[in-house]
Amino acid sequence: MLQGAYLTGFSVKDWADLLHAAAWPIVALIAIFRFHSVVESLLERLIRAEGLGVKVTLAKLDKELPKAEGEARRVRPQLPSVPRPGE
Amino acid sequence: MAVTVNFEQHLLEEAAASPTVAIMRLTLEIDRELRKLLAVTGRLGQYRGEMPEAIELLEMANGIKLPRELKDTLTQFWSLRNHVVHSQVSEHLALRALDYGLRILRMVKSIPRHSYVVVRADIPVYANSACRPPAREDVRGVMLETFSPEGEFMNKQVFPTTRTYLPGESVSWEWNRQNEKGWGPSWYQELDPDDSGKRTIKSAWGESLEFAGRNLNEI
Repeated sequence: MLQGAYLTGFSVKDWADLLHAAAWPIVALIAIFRFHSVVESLLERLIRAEGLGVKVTLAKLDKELPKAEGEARRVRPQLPSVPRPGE
Repeated sequence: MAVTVNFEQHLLEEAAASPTVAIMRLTLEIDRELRKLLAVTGRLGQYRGEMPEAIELLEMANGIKLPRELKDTLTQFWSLRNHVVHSQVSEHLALRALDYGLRILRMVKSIPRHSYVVVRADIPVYANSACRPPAREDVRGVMLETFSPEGEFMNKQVFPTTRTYLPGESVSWEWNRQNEKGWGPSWYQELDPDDSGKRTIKSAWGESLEFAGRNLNEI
């Protein structure tokens, strides 16, 4: 094992450092997957408390409503057809 | 327009007591307007009450692509309504949402549409071109006038129906598709407006399903 480690040019300490560096992100990912519902609900509560969702939606409406108001009046409807038996 | 002003005034008074209740009432009114709009395009039966879906149905009915902003604003208002009704938002935000909702209601009302008005109801119709009695027993005719979005007269047609209508009623464009057979060629008599004794025989329809439009005020 030790011989193998030396063969790749890595010392035992290098392997240990590598594992140590990789361990934290792996632990964090496992934690996120395991507790994602808790994280989600915390984020949701934060957004609600700040009213962020509402503010974002209001900003979008602010931008798009004037254009929609103008476009609505320009709609050209077509006469619907008279349905025939067997259609 | 007077109805709109009264509604808005009433809604704003209600908002002073409870913005959430006012938003809920406004959402119902927007939904009702969308239903009326779909009713005159013949697509009301496919609407399941999700506001943005109404725009897709209008596109299908008109065979045109409607501006993306129309659908987007309805989607955003729907999301806003859900935030205000189901979450704790400040009164200031709720009142802003109400203001946007009122603008959306006016926008939906401003979308041009055709209208169908009952001219004559309960017209006896005959299966023979001489209008020899007896008249058809299982159906009567209803005469509708179609008007363009600008209010110009477009045409006048008679359709078979088993429903009761009153002259002057503005009705939706709906058909009874359960009666797949409908009725074959039929004729009716039209009175001469200058000479009440004179009658002209006219073709009512070649073949037609049953007209089942409803008074728009009842939608």
